[in-house]
Amino acid sequence: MRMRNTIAAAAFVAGFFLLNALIQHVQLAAGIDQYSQFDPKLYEDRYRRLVLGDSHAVCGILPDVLGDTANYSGLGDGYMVSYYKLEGVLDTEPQQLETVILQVDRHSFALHRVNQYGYGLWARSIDFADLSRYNGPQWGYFCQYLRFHVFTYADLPDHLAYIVGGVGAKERNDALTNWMRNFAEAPLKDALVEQRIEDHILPEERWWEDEMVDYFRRILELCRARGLRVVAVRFPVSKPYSDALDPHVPPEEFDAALHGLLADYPEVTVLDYSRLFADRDDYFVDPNHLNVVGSRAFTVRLRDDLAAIEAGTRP
Amino acid sequence: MLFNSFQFLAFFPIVAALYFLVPFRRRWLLLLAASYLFYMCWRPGYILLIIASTLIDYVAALEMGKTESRAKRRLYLVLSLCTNLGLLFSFKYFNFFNESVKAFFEFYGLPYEVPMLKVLLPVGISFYTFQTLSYTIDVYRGAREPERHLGYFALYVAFFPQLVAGPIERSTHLLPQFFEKHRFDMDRLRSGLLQMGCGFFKKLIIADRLAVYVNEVYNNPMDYEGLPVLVATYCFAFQIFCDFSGYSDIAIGTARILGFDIMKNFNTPYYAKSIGEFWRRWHISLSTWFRDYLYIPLGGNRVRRRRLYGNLMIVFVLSGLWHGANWTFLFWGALHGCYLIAGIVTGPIRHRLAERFVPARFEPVHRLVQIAITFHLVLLSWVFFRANSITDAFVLLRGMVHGFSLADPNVLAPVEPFSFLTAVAGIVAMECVHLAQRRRPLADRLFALPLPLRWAAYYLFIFAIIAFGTFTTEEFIYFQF
Repeated sequence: MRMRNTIAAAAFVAGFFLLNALIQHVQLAAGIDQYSQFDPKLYEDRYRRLVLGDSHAVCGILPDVLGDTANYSGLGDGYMVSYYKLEGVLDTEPQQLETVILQVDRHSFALHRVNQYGYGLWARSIDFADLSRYNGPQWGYFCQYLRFHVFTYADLPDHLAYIVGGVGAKERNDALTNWMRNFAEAPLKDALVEQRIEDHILPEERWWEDEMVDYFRRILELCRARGLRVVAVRFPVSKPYSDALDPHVPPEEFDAALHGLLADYPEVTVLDYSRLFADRDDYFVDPNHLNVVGSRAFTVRLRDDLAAIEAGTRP
Repeated sequence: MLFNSFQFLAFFPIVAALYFLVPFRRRWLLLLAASYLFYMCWRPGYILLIIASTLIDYVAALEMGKTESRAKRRLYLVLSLCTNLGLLFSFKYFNFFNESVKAFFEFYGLPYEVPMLKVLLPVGISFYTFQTLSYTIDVYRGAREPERHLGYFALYVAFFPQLVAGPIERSTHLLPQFFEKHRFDMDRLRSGLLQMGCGFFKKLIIADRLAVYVNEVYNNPMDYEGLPVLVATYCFAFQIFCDFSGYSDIAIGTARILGFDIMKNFNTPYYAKSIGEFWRRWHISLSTWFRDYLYIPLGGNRVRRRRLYGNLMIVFVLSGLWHGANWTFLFWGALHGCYLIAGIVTGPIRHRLAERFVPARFEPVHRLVQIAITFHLVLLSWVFFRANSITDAFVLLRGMVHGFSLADPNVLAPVEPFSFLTAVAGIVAMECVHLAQRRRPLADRLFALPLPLRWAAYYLFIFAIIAFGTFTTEEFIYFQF
């Protein structure tokens, strides 16, 4: 009886993996795969500039306005993720890539970013062998890796939404606009600011983590080895957010830490736009992300500064 | 560790396999280690709270068992109550009361300098403190003997399937099961896995998908009015049911595979015909806890009417407070208290009216009306439960009426339509199962099928969960309580 049960269980598991492979095959053959948009091969030889960062960079830079740019940033991306994304892109031997635009905000090195694997959309870019070698066993990352390789069809409605394209997009944009309207109201503004500080820094208040610094260095080393120009950008945030962040991440201390880190990389140019729109709350969709109008204004400014840097005319 | 994480998918089979492999006398040690590991995956340091609570209650109960003196027994009970409720107050309620007192002082222009505590709420603290409290109270009452084996008692407090979100077990039911020698049982494995599957279905396909809609509307109450607010409230009713009963299903299924029977926590509560019946079907382990350890000691039903109403309000306000340190939960609890009192007051009249005006052949319709009214009363209370503040709740209620149109084009604005429709399809499927189960349990029907059909059903169920579930590892709502 026990033997029979064991054989039945083994047959059931085998059947499961067989069917799983079949479903995966059908799904990929039909092209129902939203993660294909994160395939580094898509960026092969088409862009001179590559943007790496988190949601600030996703919302902040409009590739169409900047021109010849791929915005490969992702929600919640820390430097670990950015490093493997960059490695993935460079593996495709892009011939035209010259500049990497890298986000360096006050929350970029925080502990919060280390375990930011929940989003997972980039998981196919990660080299897990390297991650484990370099940073010890990373169970959370491994799980995401497994999910995005073995169960590619998980979350099928999201895949379908991506494939059909734009379903509900207008409504979602309207919702974002409404969100912006909220921001004009003081009580909600305060609550949102607090929430964002909590999301980014609290409760540990560890805003300078060794793992993040290590991966930041790896990015810079990789760029140096490939002869890529690095422009480190601090993205605009609203004044209430910036002021509320000050007690948690003192600006002088962060500037000193970043300055010390970049002392080994004199070729890196830092562009600090963190207070560029300090008096323009209407440019933000929430305390720390630019809305469409704000990101357009910011990208135009960045475009001019980048042009000057690339032409060698900026001091 | 979350049930809906890959970590758990690896953790549980290993623990289950080891459990049946190690000798019986060492099993408690394995389960205790696994339970502590399960909890420590969240924040290791907070395991010390569980250990402290375990040790104090263990000693208090032993000392109660040694003496016949009522005064001494009461002293040890007070020690246990103070420890557990003290922990609960410090971590969960201190800031709420402090903030309320501060607001009161500020209102009168008085200085108030007591700082807020910067502590994280330990996951599941309300559950394990209530579980261990029930043990010491039972020992004090003489309903059970004190447990002499510290390991078994520690396991009773921290048993991982129900540690962080219940069901809140009773020592008289769970503790004796740790002494039983469980053998691996294929039938228990099958039914346990099926129950876990139902839990994952509810959580991943329904609750987490509805959460997107609910969060968008309830976190931005000024931006929505009319139909989207009403839809969000319906969504929340199903979200919280699927989230919490899903967790309970996974907990019960997990324990069943290991050989343990955990109490049922939900019994299709939205089919209740009265608020009283709703509370006999919703979060049964908490309702019965409050009934046995608060309502009955206060006098239960055997008191004068006015006292009965007072007791009901006390129980439901405290039940609201148990859920969270916020005025919204207090209001929610009080509202349910009012419902029950109104139900008692109007009961005889409703009964007479029904007898006079509802012919026997319309009894099913009458039942449907009762179910619909009860459901919508509960729905109204969920607005207060979910809203971020009392003000938000009233803004949402006003918004629900204001600008209402059945043809509102913004009804899908807060959400991705594919995801929303998946959740709706999930609800329809779940309700079909609920209705079908009224005659015969799903498991019985399934296990009676021939092997190929049974396996096809299993595969369909598993692949449906993977394909239509959402895997952003959303926490269970009841973790915060």
